[in-house]
Amino acid sequence: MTKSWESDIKELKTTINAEYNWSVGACMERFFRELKNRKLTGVQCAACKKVYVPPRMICEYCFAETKDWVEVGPSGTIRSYTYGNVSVDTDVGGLKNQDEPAIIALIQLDKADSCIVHRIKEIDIADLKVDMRVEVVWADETAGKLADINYFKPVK
Amino acid sequence: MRNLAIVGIGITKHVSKRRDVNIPELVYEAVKTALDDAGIQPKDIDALVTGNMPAFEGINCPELWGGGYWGGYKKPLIRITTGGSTGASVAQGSFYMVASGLYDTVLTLAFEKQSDGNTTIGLNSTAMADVANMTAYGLRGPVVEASGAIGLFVYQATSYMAKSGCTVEHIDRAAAMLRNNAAKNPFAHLQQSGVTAADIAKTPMISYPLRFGHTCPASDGACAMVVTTEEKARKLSRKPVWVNGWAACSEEPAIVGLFGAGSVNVDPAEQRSCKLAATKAYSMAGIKEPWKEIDLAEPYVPFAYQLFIYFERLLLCDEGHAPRLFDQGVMDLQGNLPTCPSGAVVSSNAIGAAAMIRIAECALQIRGEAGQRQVTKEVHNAVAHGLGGQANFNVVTVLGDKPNRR
Amino acid sequence: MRRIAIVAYAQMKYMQNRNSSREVMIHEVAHEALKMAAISKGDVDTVINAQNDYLDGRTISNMKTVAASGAYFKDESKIEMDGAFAAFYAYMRILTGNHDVAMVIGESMASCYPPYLPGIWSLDPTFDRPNGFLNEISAAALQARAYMHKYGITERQIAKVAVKNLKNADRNPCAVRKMPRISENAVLNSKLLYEPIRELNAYPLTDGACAIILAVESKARQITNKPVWITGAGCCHDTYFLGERELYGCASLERAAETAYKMSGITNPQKEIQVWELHENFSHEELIFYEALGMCEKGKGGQLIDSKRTEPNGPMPVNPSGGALSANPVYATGLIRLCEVAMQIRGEAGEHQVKREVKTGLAHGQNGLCAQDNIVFTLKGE
Repeated sequence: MTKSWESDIKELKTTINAEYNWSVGACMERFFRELKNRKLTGVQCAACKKVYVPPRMICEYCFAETKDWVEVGPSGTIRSYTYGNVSVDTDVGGLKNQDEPAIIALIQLDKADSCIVHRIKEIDIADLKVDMRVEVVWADETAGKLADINYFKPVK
Repeated sequence: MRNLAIVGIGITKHVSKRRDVNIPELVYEAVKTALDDAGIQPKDIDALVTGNMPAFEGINCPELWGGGYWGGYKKPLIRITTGGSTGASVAQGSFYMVASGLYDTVLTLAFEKQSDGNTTIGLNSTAMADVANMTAYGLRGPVVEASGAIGLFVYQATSYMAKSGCTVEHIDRAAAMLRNNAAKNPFAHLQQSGVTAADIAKTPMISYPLRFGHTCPASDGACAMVVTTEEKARKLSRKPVWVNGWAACSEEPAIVGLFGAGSVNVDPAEQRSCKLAATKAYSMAGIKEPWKEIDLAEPYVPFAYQLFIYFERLLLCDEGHAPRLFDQGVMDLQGNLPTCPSGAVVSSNAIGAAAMIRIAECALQIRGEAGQRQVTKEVHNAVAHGLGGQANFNVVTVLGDKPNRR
Repeated sequence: MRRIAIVAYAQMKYMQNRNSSREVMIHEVAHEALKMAAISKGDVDTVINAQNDYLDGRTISNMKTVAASGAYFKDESKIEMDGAFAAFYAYMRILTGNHDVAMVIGESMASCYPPYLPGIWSLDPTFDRPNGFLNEISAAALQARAYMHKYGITERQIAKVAVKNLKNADRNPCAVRKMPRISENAVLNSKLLYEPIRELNAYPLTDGACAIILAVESKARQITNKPVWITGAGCCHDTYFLGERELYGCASLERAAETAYKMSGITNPQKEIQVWELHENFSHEELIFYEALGMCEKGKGGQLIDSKRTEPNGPMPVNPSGGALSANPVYATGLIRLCEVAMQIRGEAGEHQVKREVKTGLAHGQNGLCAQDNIVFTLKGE
């Protein structure tokens, strides 16, 4: 039940700006270095043999450190997909419309057991299917950054 | 209620920047150490309690991403966050879990990776929502500055000094003692062996009476402990550390805020909630005269003057007497009631972990495993304290070398 | 083991914009719950808050809500997860004997801070977050597609969940989104968010707070003659990585439910539970939850909603309150599910009271993207 005096309450919007600079850790640093070389890499757990991309220091299922590096991809299989008619407005926090729907998919790269989430281009939405094969398209210039992976496209 | 004990402890060496690991990997180090110390595997863990202060890394509920690195896969897991007292609140969460009978062995962990973020924003964002409104109404200057962490502690310090006769020189001496203790602590961040009160006195004032030499650093660090039942503890550990009493108490925040928050608390040095929490914790532990029965204290001291305040508020001496007892050497490593042998939060402050490390330090001292900083007195009972919120959350834990309940 | 009951509760009228403060909301529900229990603030031993620093826009969000929640000079703490987890912590606190009466309060205001950004901020900052593809809704959409692909669940079946819950909501005075004349086609034609999730299949942004009071048996009997006993509770955390969970199911919910069923001695949930309040942020989640809870076989969630057995007058009524689709004040939502089951057991759900007699109910809460962490309570009347 709103109280009568609540109508007198004033609203103030302020922005709290905070910058962060996350350490990715030695494991991910190597992943980034290999991106520059146009290579997708993962690590393998010696115990269960699962290969993780992006690489992570610990296999959570075995609680064991992962030491062995594996080159994965450049192709993979779509395990799930969606496309956004909206996206989150990172300025004000609500949803905003997307002019062009952006397709994203859960992609299991060849030789990997985990999936990455990335975008799919050069395809009509109507042709999207689970279990489709896709391959990575690199940025024109790679610099050891996430943007080196430009997008994935269907394998012809 | 069944007895419970700490059987595994892991603390990472606190430093200003751990660039070689990301957050889950940093915490993994403490978790692995604690599990190895207890001699168990993640499969032996029945549940996890985690906590940290999200503003410092800018990650919401980091255990969602990191839980798997800590043995949390398919386990019951809860997250507790209470500001500076987080580490202690998290530990108490694990005590409740085991004491409830629902879980036998619980892994509790707390951490902060302050180098990933901006400590000032983290601290200011506690008060921005209230202060922004006040400045919109025209409040300026000292009132606004008071809302930052330094501001509130300045009032706590000066109020305490007025009532107790504690001087800035006392604080300089306290800081020197704590820095020297930290120099013997391999986990501590700031290790300044041989620093004197005169050295501290040369550091400039941030805001009277707090000097740079009196304040804590911002650290990257993590702490993990394994807590379990009496039956399992006796099998796993030569020297389980018994969690005999614990309590927490919340009061009004030290600075006024919106909708009447904080308007009753006029003296942040009073810390009545600390006295209440301590009373309850001692009573639960069967300790009737803490000033006689407690052998070691680890109050939460991010600013050196708080060594005195919390020594008193933890009922270890009469109010106003702590500076004199300090001068008599009571709180030294060789003293009758050694206080903050770890070097205190003033020497290592990874905010989420800090209050849990107070408990871990007491545990290490009870075990006799504190190395160079092991206190001379035999430690049978110890009290650990966490301070959170705007000095309005006090979390007190009493540990012992024997279980007190049956 | 101590017997602990829900003895009182309070909800507020959920709104898109309460145009007020969280302190006012918290105080309102705390006050109303105490009034219902006819006890005073002094009779409460411990207070557990469910709040989130980002949703509240305040670091150490419970620092300034001590007075409003009645926690002054009390043993108070904060669970930064959905309110049902806070209720679990309060339950454990009373189990130890250290406390007898607990107040649990969950709240958030989407008008202050829409939860989508905090959802993004829970992502892995080394890959997912900077890439910018994932958020709460796109992740849910990936799950919906995986579920539909695996079992042939249709969009129409998913829409039926929204129709059921939003119609149910019309009989719930607290709900913020109620649509008594909603149709499957209206859901299917509502604005597309992330395919296949449409606006009416996603939760509404809500301001709200909820409070419940738990008490040990001796105190419970002094407070009420209709205690709602907590007979089972279990929670579980799953892996963060979407590709490593079986997205077409909810393994952590299965595990949580298993624990709760075992604790309460329930062996045949379909027969032994008369009402279910599930925390469904998205329509398709409810179908997945049916399967994970053992309400039907794996893959048969679509058939279950088709059969109408989960309608309010069916043998397994789910979300007679309207569920999260009708009001989702994040962090209060799971607590509201507990509250709603208690109301059904006590016969106090007014117009949305299910017809059959309710002796045992199940309440569910979730935390994290695609229901990564889940908690289940089983509750039973006298």
